Amino acid sequence: MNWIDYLVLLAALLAIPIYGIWKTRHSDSLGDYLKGDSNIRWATIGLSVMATQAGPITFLSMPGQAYENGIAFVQNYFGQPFALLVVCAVFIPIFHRMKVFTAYEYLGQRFDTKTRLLGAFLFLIQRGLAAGITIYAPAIIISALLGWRLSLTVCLAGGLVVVYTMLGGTRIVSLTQQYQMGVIFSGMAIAFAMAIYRLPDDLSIPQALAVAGKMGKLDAVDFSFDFSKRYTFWSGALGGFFLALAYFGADQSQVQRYLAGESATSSRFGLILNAVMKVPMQFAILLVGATVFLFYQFEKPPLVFNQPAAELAQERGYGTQLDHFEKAFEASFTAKKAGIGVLTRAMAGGDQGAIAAATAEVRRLDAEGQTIRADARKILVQADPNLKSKDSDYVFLTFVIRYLPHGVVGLLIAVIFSAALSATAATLNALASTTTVDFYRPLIRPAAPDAHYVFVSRILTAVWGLFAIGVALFANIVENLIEAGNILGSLFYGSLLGLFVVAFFLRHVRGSAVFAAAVISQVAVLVLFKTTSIGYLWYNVIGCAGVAFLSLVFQATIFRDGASPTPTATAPVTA
Amino acid sequence: MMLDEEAIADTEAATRKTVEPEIERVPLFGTWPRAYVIVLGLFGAEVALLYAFTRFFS
Repeated sequence: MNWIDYLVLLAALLAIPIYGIWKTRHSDSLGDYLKGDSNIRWATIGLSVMATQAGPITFLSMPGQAYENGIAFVQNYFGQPFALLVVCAVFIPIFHRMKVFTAYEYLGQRFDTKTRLLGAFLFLIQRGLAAGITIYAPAIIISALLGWRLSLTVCLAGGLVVVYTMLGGTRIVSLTQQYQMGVIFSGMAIAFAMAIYRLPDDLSIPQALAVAGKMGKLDAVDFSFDFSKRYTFWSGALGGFFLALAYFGADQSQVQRYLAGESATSSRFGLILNAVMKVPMQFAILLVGATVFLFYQFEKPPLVFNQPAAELAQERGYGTQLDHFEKAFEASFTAKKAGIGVLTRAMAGGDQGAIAAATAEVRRLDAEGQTIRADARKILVQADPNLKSKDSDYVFLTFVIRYLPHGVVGLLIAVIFSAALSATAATLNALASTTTVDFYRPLIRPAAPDAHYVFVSRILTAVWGLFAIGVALFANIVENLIEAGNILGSLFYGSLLGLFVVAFFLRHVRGSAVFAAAVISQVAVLVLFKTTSIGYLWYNVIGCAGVAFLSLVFQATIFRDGASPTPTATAPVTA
Repeated sequence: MMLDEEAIADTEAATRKTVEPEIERVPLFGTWPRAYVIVLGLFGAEVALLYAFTRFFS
């Protein structure tokens, strides 16, 4: 990076929050601070929801995921449109009519205070930890590649987001997110164009895509019922549905985004925008990764992308072994590059037999190269047993730093940080709102003026921000960044979603039954997580089904005396 | 507990409204059920395009 990159990076990162602080300088009522006074337009809601979900991991890890395994990961988002429509039809009308600040406020009115606090607590514990991962994820990769100090990167990114979220509340979160999404979209579009531009001149775009397709990197949809496959249409649609329903219906960081809409119609339109755009957006990001993969079929990639880890291994006496792998990898790459030449000529000639033979040879050489890289990565782990990040997380930024021009590098670093800021801002805003509205106001000071609650919300934003920074600095973060957030969410989302499913659809179940059911289901999920290797998406289903089933049983047995329908039960709306 | 009483009253009001069918003109789509069907149709088209993309380049 040179001064142009730093200029672009600082301009992109600082200009948006400064503009947001100026625009929201008069946010002093509680409604304005926590819900943007419920007058935010649908397009802003839509972009805000999108930015909250995307996060830095999407832009760091997903291109690397496509580089390593192709674009089949897009199927994990196939459950989301269905979930968003359920939220539009059932959750939004109720939340809007009851004018709640948080989703858990509704649980208090439908059941009782203890169930409300349980829902809020499950959210706080899960999101508080996830906020740390959101700050840590870009910091670990960027600090390693650019030689920055990790702790300084974490503190600067975390400090910036704490300051502007504390000052402007929900309105500044939504406002800054739409401009940050502008930075993100333009940066990713430029990265895609540059990756295409750097492909060999004698290779057209369709020919290049055909090569990637023959190498198995463009298999987006798989309708097979093969349970051994990690990503299929069915696993994405079914498993992804529960995860997305819990995330958009019961996670305050998202609920707060769409409750800021000027009407239920604005909130629904914001979610509909996401239902339509999410799959194409994820496909585009994965396609950037596939294009980077194509680029590295003609330009030799490094043996390992995590160069600082490779240098450490050299220093610790593993240089000879790495050199051995480097030579083998180079020979494999040269053979594969020649094989791709044969494949493109065969495709141009149209001889199916020659195409099939060339494809098989290229795939064999690609697998050979991947095996060599995997063996080299084992050396890195031997050299540094604390190595926590996946090599694929370094693919995209290595490409950006090595091959893109100055200015664009700064913009792409800004993309990653913008995603981190926008997701963290929404999270801190939701954590502070939930702590204020669900704990502080009812339990500590019930009838204070708005200004007092705004002041407390600001303090709590700072407290949660410091907690997230602390998690990012000191926690032993998991290896796979792309899945860390989803795993953490899945551990708590099932029980949380179960509370809302029972609230909406099982009208005769009352507070004590659902509370006991949720506590037992949550403990069961955590025990299963520690003792089995069930796929993490299933925890959403197990937790939700456990709460629904056990609450029915408890209501019919232990808590039978209170079995009459509650006067406050709220039926779903399907209009 | 004044807040709880107010909350119960609000919930009852919400209940009365939510159990009645919502008649609402929805910009662009007309009604919400039609909006949801259109969104599902668009999602189906996206999956079909992705499947065609997969088949074409495999």
